[in-house]
Amino acid sequence: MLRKSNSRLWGIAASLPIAALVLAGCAADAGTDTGDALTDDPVTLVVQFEVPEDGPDARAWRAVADAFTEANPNVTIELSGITNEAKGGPNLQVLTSSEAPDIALIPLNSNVYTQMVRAGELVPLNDIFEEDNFPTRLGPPAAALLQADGNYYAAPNTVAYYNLLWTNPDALAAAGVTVPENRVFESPAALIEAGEKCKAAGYAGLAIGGGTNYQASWMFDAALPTAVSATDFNNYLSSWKSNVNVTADYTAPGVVAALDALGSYAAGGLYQDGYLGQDGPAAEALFTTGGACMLLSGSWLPGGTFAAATESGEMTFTPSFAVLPPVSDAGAPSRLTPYYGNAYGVPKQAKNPAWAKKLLQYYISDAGQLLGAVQVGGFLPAVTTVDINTVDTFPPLVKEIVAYVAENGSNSGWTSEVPGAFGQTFLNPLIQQLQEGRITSQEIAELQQAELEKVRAEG
Amino acid sequence: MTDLKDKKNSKQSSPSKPVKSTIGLAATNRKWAIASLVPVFLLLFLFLALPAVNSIWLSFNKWPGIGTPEFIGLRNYETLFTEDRFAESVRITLLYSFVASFFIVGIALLLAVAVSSNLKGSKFYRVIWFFPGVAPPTAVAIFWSLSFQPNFGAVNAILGFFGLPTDNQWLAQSATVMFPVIFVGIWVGVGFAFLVLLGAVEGIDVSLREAARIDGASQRQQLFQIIIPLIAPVMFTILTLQLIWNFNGFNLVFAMTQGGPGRSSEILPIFTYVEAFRYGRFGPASAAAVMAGVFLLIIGWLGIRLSRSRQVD
Repeated sequence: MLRKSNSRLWGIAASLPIAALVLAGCAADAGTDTGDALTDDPVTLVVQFEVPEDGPDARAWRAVADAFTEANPNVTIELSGITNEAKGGPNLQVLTSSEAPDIALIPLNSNVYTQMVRAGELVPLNDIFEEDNFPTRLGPPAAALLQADGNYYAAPNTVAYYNLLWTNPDALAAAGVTVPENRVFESPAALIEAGEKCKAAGYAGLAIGGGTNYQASWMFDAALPTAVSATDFNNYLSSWKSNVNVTADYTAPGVVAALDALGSYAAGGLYQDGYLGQDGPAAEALFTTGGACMLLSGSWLPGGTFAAATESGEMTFTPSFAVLPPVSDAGAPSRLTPYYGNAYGVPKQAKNPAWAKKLLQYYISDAGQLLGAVQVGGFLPAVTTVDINTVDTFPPLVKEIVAYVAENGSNSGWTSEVPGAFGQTFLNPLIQQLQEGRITSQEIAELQQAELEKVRAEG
Repeated sequence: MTDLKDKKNSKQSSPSKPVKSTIGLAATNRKWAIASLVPVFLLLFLFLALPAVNSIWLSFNKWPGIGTPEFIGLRNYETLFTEDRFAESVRITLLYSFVASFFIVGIALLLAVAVSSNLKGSKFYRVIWFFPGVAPPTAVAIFWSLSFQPNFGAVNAILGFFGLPTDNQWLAQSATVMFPVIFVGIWVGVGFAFLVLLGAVEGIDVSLREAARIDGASQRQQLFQIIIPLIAPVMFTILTLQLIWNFNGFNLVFAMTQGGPGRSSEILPIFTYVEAFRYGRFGPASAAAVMAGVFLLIIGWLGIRLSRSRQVD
């Protein structure tokens, strides 16, 4: 009897927590809509955006959300902030969990995107792409979005041009530096010489966030297409895929020359003191306060940092821009690098995928792009069918950049197109070591080639 | 012990029926005690044992963070042992955790002895020295990162005041990056160690120190022959805790350097993070975490043994 009572007691004790877990699971399930169809039932969509909470990304999404909910009163939209660091890594666990947002921020060159596409964890967007002719409106970058299975899984909402050298005309004049009329420095040596003159005049040459996990490798994106042939460059962009033949080796002289240029900038004292221990905002602060002749950044600054710094009185000059020099005549001319990478997708785990797609479709429509990206966010729209010149409030400097790109074209960025684990994450620390003189360009090229072979072998 | 004796006595002397009832009551109490422990064990299992077992299991698998893991045996461990990057990370981690921890305990001990000696303003110092310990590590890291910058950083400004060079770039050079990181680690860690050691020092019988003083013992002799031997168990405990905390000190180091320049401040937790979340290699990351865990278990076991062996009545 005692044994029986004991076992019953144990049974109850053991089953209680399990029952509680089961009930909790049922409770969660009870409120979950399958979300495969658009209904008039109340729906709450959770959308990820990149912090800060009051930043342009958040403001753009709020404007889009307000317009969307006005047209669809049964929909409530909650914004969920995510950091730059988290979006390309730890976010993977969130997006594949039961707490996944309805619309996820997924950088196209991140491990998150690679793994989610591979595992079929994203909802295909082909229907909304076709309905609004999005691939045509997006232009050539659409080709990179199309996956081997014939599906599109992510939609970029903006384009940004990086590897832009913001210049302080006052500082350059004081240093006796003249930026070439076509805005492109003639050679790495010419850029280094400009940096030396700036230093002699009491300014840092080029301010960069050298301690970040991306800026060191950005410049490789600018240098590589100018140092190798177009055929080789295209192969570098795609040879990490095991079904693409390797026709260009990373140990080729062009790659080494591109790396050499980055090493020579560091050895020539082009950057500010302590740049390897500084992040992007530190470099921006040095520039906006007039301490540097140039700043390595992108087209997003006029609508954000520059506007804020000018308003606060910290920035007292009107910046202009220049372009990094070509490494050699072997490749394309030196141009700005476009980044379509901050794309949005709908995770398979989303609770309301149909409404999520509808909202995303609105954001990438011309109306949504104009409202969210351009008018409120101050971004360049991802699509080519929205004319920013019709928007008076859009930063004139960004309009100048767009006009410059329209005239001169742009070069794809290697780190923006190959998966981060093979590209930026792998290369950036090595370039930092190169800048310190602890590794040679040839050694980096060999390591990158070995990594290519490893990635291809492991699929 | 007393309860058991009482129960034994009551069993011998009481009439049969009440004895049976007492035994029944004790058994019921025991059952309920065991039953009430179930939720605790369940929580421990869910939040401690399960993740640990999962990590160990993952360390034998290839897993990109999604999908079904693929069992590959010891290959992750082999990869780590053949990678210079892992060996370098272990070296940096040991350097950081041991140097920072020993300095923390040493400085905290000196501060505790000074404050317990009724130093003028000791109440004020008790509070001030504890402050760094309660500041959020990320805020501390940002503050000190700015302070160590060349040209505009406070540290260089102070050096300049003494006529020393002001263009030091500690955080930007592989050769020097660990100095500021260790310094800040010590700055943050001293407060807690100081409070604990102060409690231990003040727990020493006043008459012992008085007697030593009357016998002519110097401050140094009192420190090494009375105070340290008497608080040794607490010292070993706090040293063990500091070693473990600093070994796992991700927030501070990551916020200060992100593991750079290059990989020159990539301590093991950063190595693990980068492997898992930037490279999508959860297998090697788990293998590194398992090895770190085993090492820390050994450190913890040694600390407990040393602490016990030094206990004095």
